[in-house]
Amino acid sequence: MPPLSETEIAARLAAAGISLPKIEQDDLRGAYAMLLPALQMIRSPAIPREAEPALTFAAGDK
Amino acid sequence: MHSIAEAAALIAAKKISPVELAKTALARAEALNDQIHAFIRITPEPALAAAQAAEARAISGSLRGPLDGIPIAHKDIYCTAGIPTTAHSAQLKDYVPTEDATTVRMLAEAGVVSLGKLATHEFAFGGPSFDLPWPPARNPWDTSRFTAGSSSGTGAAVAAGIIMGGTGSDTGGSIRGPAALCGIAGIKPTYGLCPRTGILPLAQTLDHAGPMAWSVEDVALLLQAMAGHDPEDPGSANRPVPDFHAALAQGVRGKRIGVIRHFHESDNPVSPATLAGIENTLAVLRAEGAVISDITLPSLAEYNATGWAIIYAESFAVHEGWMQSSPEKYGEYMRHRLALGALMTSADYIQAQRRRRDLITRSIAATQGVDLLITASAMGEAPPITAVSKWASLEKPGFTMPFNVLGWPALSLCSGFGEAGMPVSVQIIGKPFDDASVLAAGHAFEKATAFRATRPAI
Repeated sequence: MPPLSETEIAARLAAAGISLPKIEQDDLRGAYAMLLPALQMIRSPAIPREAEPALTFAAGDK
Repeated sequence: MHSIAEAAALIAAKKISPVELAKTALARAEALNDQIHAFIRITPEPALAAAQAAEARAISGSLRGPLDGIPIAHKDIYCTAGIPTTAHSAQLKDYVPTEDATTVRMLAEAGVVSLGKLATHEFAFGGPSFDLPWPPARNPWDTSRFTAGSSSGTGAAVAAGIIMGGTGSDTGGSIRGPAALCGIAGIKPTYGLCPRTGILPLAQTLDHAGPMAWSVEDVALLLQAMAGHDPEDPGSANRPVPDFHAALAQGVRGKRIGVIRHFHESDNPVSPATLAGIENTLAVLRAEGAVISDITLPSLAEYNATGWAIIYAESFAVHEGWMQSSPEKYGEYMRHRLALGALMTSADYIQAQRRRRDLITRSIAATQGVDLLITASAMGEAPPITAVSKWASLEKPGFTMPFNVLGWPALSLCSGFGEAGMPVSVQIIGKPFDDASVLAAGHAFEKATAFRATRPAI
């Protein structure tokens, strides 16, 4: 998972419907680089495909 | 300043008046708020009306219990009918709820006297911030220092002796952090124990409501009133609520306590005073009959990675509309932290929830042989409020987040004082729905030590 480029940050914010000044986007780019190890850590070691899903719903009373 | 337990006995014996208690507390709130900014709003009229009602019950011998007539206040993310609930944010500057949060109602039914609404980090997330409609709360032990957050006003007001207790919320440590830095006690109960209906959410799968007070005994009394099933909260557990105050007497004799030494010695090394406080806690509890051993859990970093990924994603979902329509109404810290969530993908969020389930499984296995756990709740004494980084949560892994990820009960209490004379703390953790044993251990420590005798000089 590589860091996000300036263009990618702008694109993701735009996709989320958010408009922020360039200076704030630059700050976010640095913060995302700090978050990246966490996003890698939650994927490693990989959880087996057959593992129980994280989010499930109960239909009706248990 | 009396503890809740002491004041309750004096009210029942008609030796002190709830109205006089409320008047004294209101006067202290007015006198100190310019220094510690603990209150966003002080509400004398409803407070005195509630105090008069409590006094009438005291005179007629119909007190509702140990909280009747006790002055408290609510974190300003707890909705209060007819009283503005701002979340310390310009987004809700003029918001007046029509209904009380369930826990506000439960505490009112127990007879508490609410003095008003307490400062918080913006929406329990953005702080400490100096660009909001109200200033951030200051630490009564030294007003140049941080209270921690997000239940910053509750920590400050309790430590300053304005209120005997108050409400907090804890998504990654927002009860236990301020309890630690302000030198008081606060419990993040088991997930599902206390209803969250009517409390403004931060991240619903990690949010917990809970009490803060000067002593563990007082926390137990408040928790009694806040715990119970709420069908309106999908995370609420439908199970009997134990008598937390009665359970304090069980102590720790025979309890097996696991020390998560790697958390505070190598994963994120704490200050010498904090480490000494933890070791002293272990010595005291051993002398009280506990059996102490070291245990190993997954790394602090792994719990924090999981928890923060969930918080950033869920909080952005909560605030998506305002981030699109009026982002300028947030303070910088809140806006930027929410925007970070907007950069994440749906896969990031689901992977974090899958990792969370994996962590729960591994944590249960690792703690099979113990009843309670002990580690730090903060690294050390409170830092200067101006030295707190916007991205502190990403810089070092916190000690409180693991138990939000797990949902297990966790208590922070004062374990002594550091080089600067500021409080240091320890964290006691229990198995799900064994909040009573956590409180009993904290109470045993407080009874055996003298740290509750020292108050801030403010």
